Amino acid sequence: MYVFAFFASYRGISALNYVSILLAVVMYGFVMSKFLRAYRVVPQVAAA
Amino acid sequence: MKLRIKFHPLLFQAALAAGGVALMPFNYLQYGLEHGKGLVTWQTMPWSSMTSGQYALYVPLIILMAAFTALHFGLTGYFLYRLARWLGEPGSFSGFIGVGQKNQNAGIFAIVASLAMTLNVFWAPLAFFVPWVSQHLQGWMPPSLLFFALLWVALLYLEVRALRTWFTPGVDRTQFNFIWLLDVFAFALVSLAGSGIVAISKHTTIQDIATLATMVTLGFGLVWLLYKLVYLISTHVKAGKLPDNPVLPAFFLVIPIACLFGLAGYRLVNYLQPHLTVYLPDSTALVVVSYGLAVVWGLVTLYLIRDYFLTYFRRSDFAPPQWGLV
Repeated sequence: MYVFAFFASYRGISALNYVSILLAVVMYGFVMSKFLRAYRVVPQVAAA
Repeated sequence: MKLRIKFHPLLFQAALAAGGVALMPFNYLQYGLEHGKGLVTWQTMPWSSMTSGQYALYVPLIILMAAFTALHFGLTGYFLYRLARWLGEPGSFSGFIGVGQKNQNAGIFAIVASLAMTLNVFWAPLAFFVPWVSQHLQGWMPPSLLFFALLWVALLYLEVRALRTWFTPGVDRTQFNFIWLLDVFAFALVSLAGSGIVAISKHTTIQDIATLATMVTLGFGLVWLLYKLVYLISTHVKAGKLPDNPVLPAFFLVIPIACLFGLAGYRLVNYLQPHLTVYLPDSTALVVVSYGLAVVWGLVTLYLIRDYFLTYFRRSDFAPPQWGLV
């Protein structure tokens, strides 16, 4: 009940918004790292 | 790291997502801080009255906003350069837009969506840092309207071209997936840009032109969204299974679309209501309902594709719909 009341309050919504921004940044970094891996040029190693 | 990036219109999603992330801290500061009238800027931040706790909260947000604003403009510039070269290759555009199978050509709308986001990033996060922009925002409205008009025409042109392919006999529409919503997403972002001009501009003619154009994109976009949602949900239910893993994050596209239409509707109603004798829906209710629907859709989607996150996403290769998660 207290948890619900917190997240329904201005501070709670504010905290949720703040966390969602950080989550979006982490998700962006994660997807971008996959994106860069997908397009990187892998150096060709000469066959021994 | 050396990269070899073959051009595809969906590349613009990286710039679009960066713009979205740049807007998030801006909105937080705009609505969470006392900063006087108008849009919050570096100059109107209440630096002297902020507590150390507020500094600890807000300074990281401002750093993130700066980084993602730079990233958005950097990626937009690079992808526009690549787009120009791509359009210069004979047959590249017509070859792309002509393929309606599995809604492959819907990717073209990522370009319009991303450029519509550029307008919003320009007015808000960039103006936050650059006084030259924030202090002359009214002067930026005519060029903004021109840019919006170009996007509006491009969007309708691309929509007509793509519609022809989607409803051509022989195209199996039961193979369509939620990436098909990318055009609706572009309609929503162009509507947001248009409604932004309505909200910011103090010039009646500019406001009226932007209102009329936004009503077209908002009205068509909403009807089109409803049609596509009913169609896609029914074909997925009939198929009795979810699409392949790489496509699953596209389910999340409904969330920004709902929020953007809600916000654009809110701004239009606020502008139009004083001029009308009939009562329009309450503008605040529009935002609350659209955001509420977005939350419900998000929770249902999380439940539906929970296995995707639990067993697949972390180790999976890159797939363009993953930008939908951001």
